[in-house]
Amino acid sequence: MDAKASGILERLAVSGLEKCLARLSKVSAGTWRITGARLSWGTPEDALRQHDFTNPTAAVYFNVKGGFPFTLMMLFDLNEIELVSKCFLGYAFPRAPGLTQPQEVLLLELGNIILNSLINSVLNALKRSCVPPAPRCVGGDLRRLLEELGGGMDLKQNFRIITVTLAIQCDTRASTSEVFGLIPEELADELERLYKEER
Amino acid sequence: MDDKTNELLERLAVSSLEKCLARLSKVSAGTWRMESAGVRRETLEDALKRHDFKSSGAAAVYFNVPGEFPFASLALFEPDEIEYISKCFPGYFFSGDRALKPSEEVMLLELGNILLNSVVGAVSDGLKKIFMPAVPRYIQGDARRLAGELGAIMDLQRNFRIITLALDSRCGKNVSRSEMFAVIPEELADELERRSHGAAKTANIMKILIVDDNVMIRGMLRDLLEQMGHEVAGEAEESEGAIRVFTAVRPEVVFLDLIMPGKSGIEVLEELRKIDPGAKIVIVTAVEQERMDKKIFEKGVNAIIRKPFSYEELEKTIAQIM
Repeated sequence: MDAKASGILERLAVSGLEKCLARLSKVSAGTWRITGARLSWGTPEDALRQHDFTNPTAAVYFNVKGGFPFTLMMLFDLNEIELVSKCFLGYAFPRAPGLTQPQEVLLLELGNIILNSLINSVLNALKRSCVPPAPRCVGGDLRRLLEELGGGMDLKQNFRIITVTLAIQCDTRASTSEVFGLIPEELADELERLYKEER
Repeated sequence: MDDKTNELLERLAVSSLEKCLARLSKVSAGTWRMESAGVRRETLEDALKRHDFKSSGAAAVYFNVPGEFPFASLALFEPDEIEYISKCFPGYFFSGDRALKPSEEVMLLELGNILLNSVVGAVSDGLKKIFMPAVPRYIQGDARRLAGELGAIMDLQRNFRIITLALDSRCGKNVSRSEMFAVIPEELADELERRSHGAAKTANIMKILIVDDNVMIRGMLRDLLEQMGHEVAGEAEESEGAIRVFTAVRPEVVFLDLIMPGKSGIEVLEELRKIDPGAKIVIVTAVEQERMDKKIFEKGVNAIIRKPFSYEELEKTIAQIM
């Protein structure tokens, strides 16, 4: 893996998300911040395996099309839905055995806001623009999530994987959530090229 | 001026408490109703003197709300009526002992928290700000004991605008009465009056259409816009619905999402412009791409508001397009 290109990806991801989380902390009831970011190389399955699927999980994802397609996904622990909804909306959604419709609506909007900050970062760096397709939400285990992702991408392909861990806090309670970026090699190369050009 | 301010305080408190009691009546075992409301300029000591302290004293839950305009709120319950109150609130009897047990205190703390937060909601609505009250506290005793405790958080000799709200809870034949006090310093009352006056002065009611595929965002926008006094004439969750409702209601302003299933907000924008080139269009989106902004403004958008946004940002955006 090219360390320079990876460094650029990490910077883009972190700067986009930091701005978004500062805004979320300002207007919502919770405090949102990044606790870690790392880069790896592998398939979508390798990316998702970084998440602990012990508790029921829901994912919101975007497949951004165009000249440089890429995929972004945010994973939520559904056992933490009370806290996540409290932090975002100011009141708690009840927990349920599976993903309920109100939970889906909430996570879609939260995922839309957070993942778009990354899309904005990447597209602004590419000096391009596009309206992403509507985000999608799916609940389930690793297999179910991969099935869903497989509908829009090659699951055998290797990507640069950006993993950013977010801490969500309201009152004294805190939880975490993960954001994954699956960046094809061509996109990472182009970002590196543009970065060098600018310098 | 005094009367007007008192009327405003009463209106804010009553409307917020009524909503809270309607909700409590819906989800609890009892029926909750407001008996009376009034506002006086007096000391808290004087307000407490008007309360009928029985031999067992009163069970009080209170909290102060810190911030730029600190204020306090207090609820008084009758320890003798704990059986009736508990029957109404959790839905089962607590014992009728005069010295309340920890479990009864916990119940009253939660009930007090719910009721007192309606006052916080009223002030919050009036100032358009979100407040985080301190943790509620519990105390049982007579007027002197309460004054001793409350004296630690406020000056008991100072005159405040004190909103007094009397309510009753009914479950079967049993009725219990409680009283609430909102202790509003003069500076806060002035600020609420100023804000309400300003809002009435600048009111320019607009007919609005909201287009967003997310029902939660549509609901939130509707609430905020209606709070500002605007008329939300319609909602749509996708492009076809947007065109249909737009043609039917002819709104002055459209709040339009960019990312939607089917046609994007940009395509909807182009179609709306063909129907009415003069309609004001505000894009509501999490997309923040330099080239996209340029493209959107070239297509005649009046403003962009980024998700997530605050009440103030929405207010500012509306002022910008008016």
